[in-house]
Amino acid sequence: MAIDEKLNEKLERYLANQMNEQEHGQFEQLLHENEELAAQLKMHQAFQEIFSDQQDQMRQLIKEVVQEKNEATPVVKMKPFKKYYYLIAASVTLLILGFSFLYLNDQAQPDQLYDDNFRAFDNVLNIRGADQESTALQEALVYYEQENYKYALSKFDQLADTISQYKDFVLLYMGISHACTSDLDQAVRYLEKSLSISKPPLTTTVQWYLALVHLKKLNIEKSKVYLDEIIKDTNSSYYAQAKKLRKDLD
Amino acid sequence: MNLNSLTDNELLGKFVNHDRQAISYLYDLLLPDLTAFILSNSGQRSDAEDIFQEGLLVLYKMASESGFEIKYSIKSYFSTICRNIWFNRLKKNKREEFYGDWANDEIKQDGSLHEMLEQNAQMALYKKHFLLLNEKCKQILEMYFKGKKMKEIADTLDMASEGYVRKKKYECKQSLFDSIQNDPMYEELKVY
Repeated sequence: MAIDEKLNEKLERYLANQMNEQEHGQFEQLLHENEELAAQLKMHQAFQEIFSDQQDQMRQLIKEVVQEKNEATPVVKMKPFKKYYYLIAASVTLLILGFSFLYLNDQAQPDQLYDDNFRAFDNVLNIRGADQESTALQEALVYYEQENYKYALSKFDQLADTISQYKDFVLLYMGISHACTSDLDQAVRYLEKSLSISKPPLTTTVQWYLALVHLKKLNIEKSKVYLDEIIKDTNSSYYAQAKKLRKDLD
Repeated sequence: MNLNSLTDNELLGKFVNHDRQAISYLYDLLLPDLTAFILSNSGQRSDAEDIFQEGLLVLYKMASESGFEIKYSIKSYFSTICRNIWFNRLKKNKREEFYGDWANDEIKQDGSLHEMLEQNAQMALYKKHFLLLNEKCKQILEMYFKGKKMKEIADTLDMASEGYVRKKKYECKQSLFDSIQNDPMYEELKVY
């Protein structure tokens, strides 16, 4: 609902502090009585804030820093076949499920639940810098993103003991890489190491993978313990998945 | 300079003073957790960077307010701000795959933070409608809201006269405000 040009002019003079005391008082009274005028004042002030120099400069500065960071870090694209990998995996899972339904006993259920729930955690680190440690970590993460877990592990191995930053993430990725290469004991070992030093919200992610690896190892009770830990926090990113899996295990 | 040794208050002070190194440090400090959260909640890596920039701007506005006192860690503030922005975006896109709440209970009770988040949601609505205007209106209003004089706007945009700019500015502004007020989200976000 528009206001007329005359009232708009008054509003702009009020905002520009161009009114004398009497006019100012009258206008403030009008603001109390005219809801539309008050709404327009509020929107006007909001746009002045949006386009303020300070905010504009900060917006630009943040954008520049993010761009610099991205340019300093080679972005690794997912391999094109990765999308199809899930379809293939899903098809294979369905075949196995069908086969299992016909011939196997209840032992197949944890495997099925594991396949339904396990998905390698994405690389969330954006490493920059050309020092030896950063370069090695970038290289390891490239292999990890390409699902070349054996090479990723060989690179992570060189870093695991000495890395100064992101050690909790590196140990998590090592645990997941071991899980992806079916070395479940090593997966548990690295995930437990990560859990011992990680902080929220990463802690829940590590607990989620520990629950899954124990499920795969048929340590159902241990899996339940980690799931129960996740469920305690309703704000957790894994809350819904953990709750469902916990129910499926009962 | 090693920013690791700074307290959150000192770091925030540098950030508010447009210190590039502080922003770079905040990027390293905050983006991995945010990316993990966004990826676990129906988002992509590009969404995380987008939310990071928006979240940092809200943090800047909040920390720039006179009398602002830091009560929680920067990570807590930032996580709450970003979760809220992402939650609103999912809600707007009618996507329901959001695991968890937008803030912990302690922060939810913080009136000033809550108010800032509501203001941010309003600003997002205003910006959305601004971007829907035609190019000429956007140019005129952007210059006007930045405090440029009618003559400068007329000269820069090669418009016939100050009077014509004034008339166009009025039309564009009313069209923008109408468009905002007709958005169903406007009533939901209206705070007086």
